[in-house]
Amino acid sequence: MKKLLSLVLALCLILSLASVSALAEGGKTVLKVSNYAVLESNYTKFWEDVETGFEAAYPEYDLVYVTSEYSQTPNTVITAAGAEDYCDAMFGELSWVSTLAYAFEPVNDVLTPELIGEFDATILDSCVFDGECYAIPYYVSPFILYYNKDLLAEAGVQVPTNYSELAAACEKLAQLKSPITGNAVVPFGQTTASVAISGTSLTAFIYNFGGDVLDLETGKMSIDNEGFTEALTCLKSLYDAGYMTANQKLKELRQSFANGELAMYYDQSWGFSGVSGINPDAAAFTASAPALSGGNGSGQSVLNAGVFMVSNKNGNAEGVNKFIEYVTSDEVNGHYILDIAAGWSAKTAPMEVQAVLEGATGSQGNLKAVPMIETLNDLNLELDTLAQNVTLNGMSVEDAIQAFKDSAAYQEIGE
Amino acid sequence: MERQLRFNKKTGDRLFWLLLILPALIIITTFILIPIADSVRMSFTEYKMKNILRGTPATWNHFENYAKLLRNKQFLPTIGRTFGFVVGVVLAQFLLGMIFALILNSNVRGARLIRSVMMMPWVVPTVISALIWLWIFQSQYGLFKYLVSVFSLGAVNDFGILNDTSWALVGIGIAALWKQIPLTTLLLLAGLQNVPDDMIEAATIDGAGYFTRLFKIVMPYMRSVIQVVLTMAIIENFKQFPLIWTMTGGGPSNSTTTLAIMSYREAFVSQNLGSGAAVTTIWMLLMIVVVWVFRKLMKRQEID
Repeated sequence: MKKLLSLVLALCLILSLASVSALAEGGKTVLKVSNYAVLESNYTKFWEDVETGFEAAYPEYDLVYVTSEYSQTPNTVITAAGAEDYCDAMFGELSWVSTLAYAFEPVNDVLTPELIGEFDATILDSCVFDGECYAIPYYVSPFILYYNKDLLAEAGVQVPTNYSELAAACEKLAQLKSPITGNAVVPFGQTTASVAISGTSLTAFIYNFGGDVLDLETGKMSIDNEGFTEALTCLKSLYDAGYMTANQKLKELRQSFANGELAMYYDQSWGFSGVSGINPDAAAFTASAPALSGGNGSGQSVLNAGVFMVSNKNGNAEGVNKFIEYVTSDEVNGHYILDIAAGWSAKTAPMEVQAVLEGATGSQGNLKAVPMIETLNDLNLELDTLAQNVTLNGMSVEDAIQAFKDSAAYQEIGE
Repeated sequence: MERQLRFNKKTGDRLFWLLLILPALIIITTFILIPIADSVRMSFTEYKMKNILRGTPATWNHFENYAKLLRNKQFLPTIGRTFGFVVGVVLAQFLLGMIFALILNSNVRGARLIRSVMMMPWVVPTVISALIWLWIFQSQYGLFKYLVSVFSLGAVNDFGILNDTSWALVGIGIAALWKQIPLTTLLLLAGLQNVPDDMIEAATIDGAGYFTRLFKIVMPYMRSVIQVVLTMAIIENFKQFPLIWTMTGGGPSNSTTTLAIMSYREAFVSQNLGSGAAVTTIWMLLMIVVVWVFRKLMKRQEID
């Protein structure tokens, strides 16, 4: 019996190997694309449709997604690349470029100048690491202010345009209860939890005040400026007044906002898909506005984007060009930003955006890049600690900045 | 001739013994000893993620990684926090595990059902446990906040345990206890059930009270089980990573940054594998010392 079973297993193995070889003999070239979003339910169908559509348009290619959970994706790609198992392309965050640049190649070495020329040059400039552009932007997703129209109307306040107006509005909003859960309303949300994206959001908050974190030219630390201090002072005063909850992740803020327990908060534009995933009726009460201005700032935000990194390390440059051309086509890209994730087109030709973004129109033009430095993740986490120190830890802004400088020096950030 | 035969038999036995332990020896060397040695070697080098991607070798930088760690103002507090977490959780885990084991051993009704149900937290993957507790402790709408508000009769309405730099590690400790107590209880229960009934009966007849029987007969009989349970608990909590990383990421304000978190941050966030290996080496040495001291203490008690 055992011998028979072994024989059957061996036959199965041979048949599977034979079928794999048959696939290879079919003449299809495998294109490996790392894409965490395939695992996220809001995006799964879109990316599956991309796979089907691409393979129908280019039958000579077999598009294979390499998937892993969002936060594990950079390490997964690095580990595989270390074993010379390279991806041909990768869908990820702009902030991953400095980490993953060496696992991919400059876009000029892989993609045709015509294809690259379709994208906004300013946005391409923000994808530069070590003097070379390493990514093609898929959509622009700056931090904007999402607010609950119904709660603002109930409190009788206008949408704020600066932080003084915000503080005045918060006073009234703090008296309200959520119409959905009956819990008290938190007037304002700014993520400060110990995750890298919170650091990016805090950089945007500092930019609102005209402040700097890194020197745009040299990438060196540049925090001795009025805007930086004013932003932290404002954050502290909002927290001390009880107008915001500290140490919240963006997904927690989305949950609160979807439940009508948060009157307004900063999120990347695509964050609205998270909110509507929690509460499909959220579209009825959600509207957006540009980031507020503070001090001498003009409400600038960080240039944040979903990007594709590309490589010819497997000798598939032609296939990679076809894939990027297909996925960034007006039809596919347009569908993505209009129906899947709220954002603005990164191409020179304009595209229609989701209705919820109408209030924030202009935000996509009031952006400042974050220089791509190797220690960007460390910087973001240290910014989180800085924000936690002035809020939860009750430290003075001056002491917290000094502690930040000490940690940044240890981490060799911007050196 | 007979001597020659005996020698051959002895040699043969040795060879057979070697053959039997060879697979284990190969596995331990390949998967434990070599990686440890490699990690220690790496801790004396400058070795970053870009070295892997560019295929460039690590460069020897002597004790620079260790010197840099000592310059880090967070390093010593991190060691202290790690020890605090281990001592607190291990003690609470043992005490609560022992209490549950004693209850389950006392023929309480439904003991079998309770035993099965209470194993559930142990079965749940650690990251899932972390996410469950993250929601329970959520500062705005979490169950824990509500309970604190109810039990304090409304005096404390905004207690977010993971948002408080003084309490965040306690919050993680609670999650760790929820996850680890079931196994501790099960092991201690197995130990309790091996204590001979006649000894207990004899002590009872001699007039020994409940606590006298517990401390003079039951606990000494369970010494080997207790030693295993505590050693496992020390190691488990010393290397606790997924709970902390998922629940707080080491924050707020580094108040939950332990050596495990620091090692991960150095290696995979800062992408400095050499520096991460230095933290890991110190962490491993500290763990070895703690377990060694603990075993010495247990041995001394045994002799006494």
